[in-house]
Amino acid sequence: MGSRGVPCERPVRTEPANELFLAVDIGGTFTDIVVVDAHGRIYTDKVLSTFDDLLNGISAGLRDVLQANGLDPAHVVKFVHATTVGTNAVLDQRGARTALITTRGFRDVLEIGRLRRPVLYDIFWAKPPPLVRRSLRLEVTERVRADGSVATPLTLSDIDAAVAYLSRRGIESVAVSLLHSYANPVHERAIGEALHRSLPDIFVSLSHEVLPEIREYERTSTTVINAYIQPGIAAYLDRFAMVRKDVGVAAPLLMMQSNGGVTPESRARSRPATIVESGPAAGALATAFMASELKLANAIAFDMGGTTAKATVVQDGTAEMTFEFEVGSGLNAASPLLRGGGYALRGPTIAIAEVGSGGGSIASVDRGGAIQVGPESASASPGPACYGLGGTLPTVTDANVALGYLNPSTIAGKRIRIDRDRALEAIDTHIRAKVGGELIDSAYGIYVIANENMARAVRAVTVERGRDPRQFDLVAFGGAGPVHAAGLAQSIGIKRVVIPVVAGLFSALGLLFADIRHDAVATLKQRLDHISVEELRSRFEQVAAIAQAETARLSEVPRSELRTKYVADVHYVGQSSELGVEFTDLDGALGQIIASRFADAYARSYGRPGSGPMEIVSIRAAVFAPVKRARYHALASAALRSSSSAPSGQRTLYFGPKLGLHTAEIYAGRATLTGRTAEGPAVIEELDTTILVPPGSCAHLDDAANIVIEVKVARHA
Amino acid sequence: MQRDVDPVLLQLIRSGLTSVVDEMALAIMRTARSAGVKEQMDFTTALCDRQGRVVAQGLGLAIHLGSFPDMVSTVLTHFKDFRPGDVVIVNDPWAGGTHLPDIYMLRPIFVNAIVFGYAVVNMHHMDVGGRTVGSIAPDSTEVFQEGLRIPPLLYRSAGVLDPTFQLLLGANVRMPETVRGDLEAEENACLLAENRVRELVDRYGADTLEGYMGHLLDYAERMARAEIAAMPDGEFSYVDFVDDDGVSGNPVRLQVNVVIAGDEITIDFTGSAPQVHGAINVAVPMTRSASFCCVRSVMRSNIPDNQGFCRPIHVTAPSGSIVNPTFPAAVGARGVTTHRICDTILGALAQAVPNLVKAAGEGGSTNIVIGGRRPDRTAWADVEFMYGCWGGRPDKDGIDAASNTFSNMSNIAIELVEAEMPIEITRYGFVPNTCGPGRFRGGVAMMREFRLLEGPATLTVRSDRQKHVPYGLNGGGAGAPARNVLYPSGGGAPLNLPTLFTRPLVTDNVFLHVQAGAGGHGDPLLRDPAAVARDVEDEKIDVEHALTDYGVIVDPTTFEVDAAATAERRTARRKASASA
Repeated sequence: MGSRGVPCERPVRTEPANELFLAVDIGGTFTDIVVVDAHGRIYTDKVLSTFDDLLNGISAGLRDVLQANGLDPAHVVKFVHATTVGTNAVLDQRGARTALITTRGFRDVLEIGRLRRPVLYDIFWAKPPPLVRRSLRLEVTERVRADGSVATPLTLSDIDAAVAYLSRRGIESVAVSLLHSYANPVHERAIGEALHRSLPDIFVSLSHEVLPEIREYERTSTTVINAYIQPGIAAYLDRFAMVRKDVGVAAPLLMMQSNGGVTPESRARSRPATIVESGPAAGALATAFMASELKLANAIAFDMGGTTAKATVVQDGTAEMTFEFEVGSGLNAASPLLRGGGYALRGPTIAIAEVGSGGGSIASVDRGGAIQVGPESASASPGPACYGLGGTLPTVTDANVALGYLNPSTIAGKRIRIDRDRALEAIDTHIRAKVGGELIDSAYGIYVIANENMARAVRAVTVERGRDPRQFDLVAFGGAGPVHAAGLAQSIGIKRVVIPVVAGLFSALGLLFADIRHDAVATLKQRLDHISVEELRSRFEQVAAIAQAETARLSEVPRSELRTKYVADVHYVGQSSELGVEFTDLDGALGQIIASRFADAYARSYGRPGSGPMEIVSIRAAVFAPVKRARYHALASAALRSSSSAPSGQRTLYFGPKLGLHTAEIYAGRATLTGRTAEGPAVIEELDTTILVPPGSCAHLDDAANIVIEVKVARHA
Repeated sequence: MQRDVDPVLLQLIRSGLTSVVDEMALAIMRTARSAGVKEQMDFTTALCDRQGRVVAQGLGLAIHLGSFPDMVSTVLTHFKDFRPGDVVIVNDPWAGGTHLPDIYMLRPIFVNAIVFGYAVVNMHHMDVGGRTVGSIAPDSTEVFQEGLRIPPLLYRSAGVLDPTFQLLLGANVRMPETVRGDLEAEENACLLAENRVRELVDRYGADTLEGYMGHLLDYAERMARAEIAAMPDGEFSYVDFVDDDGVSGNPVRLQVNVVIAGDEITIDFTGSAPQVHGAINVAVPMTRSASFCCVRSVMRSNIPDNQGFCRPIHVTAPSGSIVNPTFPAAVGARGVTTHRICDTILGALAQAVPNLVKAAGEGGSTNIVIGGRRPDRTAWADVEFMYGCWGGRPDKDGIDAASNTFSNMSNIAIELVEAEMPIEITRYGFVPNTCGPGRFRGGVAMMREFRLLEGPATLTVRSDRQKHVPYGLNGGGAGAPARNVLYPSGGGAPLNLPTLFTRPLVTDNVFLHVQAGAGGHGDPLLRDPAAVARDVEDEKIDVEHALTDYGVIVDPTTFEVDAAATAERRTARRKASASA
């Protein structure tokens, strides 16, 4: 595809003192706009993420935030964007009219999928419909074997027939995925060339370019997603270019990717599958950056919003990656046991466990008399009962209001009015009346069960992957995260919680810390003891060269400044799950280094050593190019200056039957903590979030203006 | 809710236990060696309390879930005093197992030097010896032909592997490394469970945790009783058949009488066939498990997966019958009958709760095993369980391509099979015109075709539904029959094969298996004509079937419906059937 129709843009030259960094992050309800200046001052705006008028909204929001603060759009040196437009096209089945070409006999591979489903027993489960219907899946006669040899040559007349059919059916985009093309792409290439020649206006995605990896369903599905969203992404970026022109920002656009790096706009056009999960990646990336600045070795990024909570592990400043993902499986992304609910997308993706537990999650009592929280959500509309917008069912936010954790009259910088009586009434009617006891205990039950649901997300990324969560710090953000963070930490034995600056918009801020990143992969599938060091090295060099060339070409960063990371996906012969072994240079006895690191990682993950010969399945390279960043430490002092220091008050909070009622200090903004320690129970109310410090725990500010809560770890009450 | 039970703590402990069994399953997936386990996920994990009651089960095969209680209670009668680090295994169908390839493992969980509970795993192993590779030949006539029979024995004694058993195992199975690797994966899961349960004890205290395990059982029972009480009282019968007993070619009758009375339900198999010579007999734990599963599938509440929900469900399985055979019956291929047991029970339940039952699906997994030896004499085997399609549902079509409701297995990647074994998969996909017609049609049949690149090899097939096809419901039609076809090397007439067989293959033999199509739900004349046209355009049915099955006239090139002609046709059809 290359960079079809995209003008090559010059980097902006500006005085460092005036440099502006700009991020636009589209979320489910709101689109966050963040501008950071050279002094670390942060300017923000939120606009509604309404699909029809999204770009006009962003355009107006950008102009507002720049003009209101006297900022010159010409001084923007970096503009990063995370968008849900790709995900939404898949979820809403609103992608391009797409066709698929496969090896004869296998056009149904896409629709069959892996056959599993994320639920047992339920006979009403609806399988996600294929993105390309059967009548648009064409077959060609050809066959390549697993060793790359050609068993049956490609029948050229089949291509002609396909071209004729596609042009008749008004196809906009074509995916080509032939069996074993990862081993030999000769037939895919031939088809690609024929399509470009005969149908120059349609988009073409070849599976050996999108994902040259063994396993036909995953490769086909990934290639189809790429094809399906490609025309829409191109049109979106065209319109986005108008917005930038309109606002007067000349800086080239960088797009956030699922892998936690950014990429120039042109590559997002050619490989849109890489930007599908860009939104959730940003929060994890922000945490990773903060963790490396603060030297936090082990951190869990915990992001809780209105409908879901997400957890990601960050170790040594790097967010954990996964290579398997399903678009639209939503809450099932946490576990490979729950596959089948979405569309398989393979490729490096920040590993995020998500559960249906957010401020809007609805609490209920089931037939057996147990309290359930979520996954149904009252969302923004009708919203929690206490918002008074029509919601009558009790939500997590209502429980937080009832317990005194949230301000009883107004939150979110006075933007949202709170009616505590409505919260109490909803909990009384729908929970207390069914389980008995005191109303306040029902509210506390909702709070504790919501925490337990979220603890499952944390366990999914820690204990289920051989890590002890007690050795991690919890970095909590998102609108609802900081209210629950300390309680969640207590329930999983975490001792320290960090609430970063602008916690409510932390994900958007994270976009400004990303480097350019491109990945490449190849399937090796060879026993480690059967491959020479020289061959191994040369295969890694070949893979890296692809990503390095692409990065150098697109980023204008000199090759000498590129950083390359290598990953070998290894397992014991016969196994099908691999562990990734990472390294940064190809020197020395590569095979032995990989073998010993794999053996260690395996024993660590599964609690006991494995045995037998090892096999390398895939090899990967990730290439990073540095991009100019906002200065993280400057954010801190700016945050403290801008934070209000209005007088504090007091409120009564409830902490369960054992601890009972407590009078808590209420702090208005984190600046009020300067030079002192807040002993729990305490509440810190900020413009974009509320931070709860439970009894026995205490909070203080660190050098970077983060609120650090030292959590009292207690046995369960 | 009982007065002394905290509804919050109940949820917390339920969630904690569920995490443990799911984590066990993940550990198995990541460390197992055979394709059946790692790719298809043919295993199940569970936790039991001190009394051996199953308090949590992982998201594995629904059909395995009810088989744990019988296994655990049998093992506990054999072993009284466990030591830390003991591990028991068993596969004997007359001592808690269900068929020989399913090796159950049980590890006592010690807390403060006493047994607190048990971690248990069931896993289908690739081969456990016997007459044929894969160990589930349908034409075996005694359990002794089916492989290594393991009574409950100590696999590990106080942490030390039993060397005698290891030698016996190595000498009796075809792929000892794979089997050992998979047993290692079972052990990984059990070890992990022990650690996790200790953490739960640290958090909640041993007495509280144990008490709430009991409360969770009561809670599941309460929910199950509420569900059953909401069903209409009465007796509901159904009869279905397995095509062949594996030896004689005669059909095997399954009869069930379901009695719903108040908040209890009885499932009585009286009237089912006597046990048969072939290997499709079902050991009674599996019969019970299948019964629990079916009743569970018509419950809509989110009931915890523990033994408590089985309490109001009673199963009567006459001794010496196909659903409760006596020693030494062969049971290797019992899967085919197990799935038919489910279809039969659901046929009865559909009369009681018609809005909660779908028409019959493909009839259960087809098991295809192709195995041989490489030039270096090492054994290879492609063991595949093939699925499947769902019957039409009360509110929507059946699914084209999904695992059966009572199992949740995956398929094996074609590229992996071809990279590891001398097999070429030549086709994998849907077969048009096989779906049972209905207002909500059944799923279309699946087929998979194999070419042997380097013989000789042995082919074992366990399939069904060539003669007795999947039923429709509420006026919906039956699905199309299954087929097995062998294409001889170098041309020659294709050979139709029965449902259950074992036979040799030579180089370039091609074997095609077509599963049955699923039954439809509701009157096909009420199907939306646009849905019929869509199926024609997608080549799931052709224009002739659109006309004969649905009375819909579809243009073969534009795929447009002739609305007037269709209405006329449908009216005529209704009149004709009314007068007939």
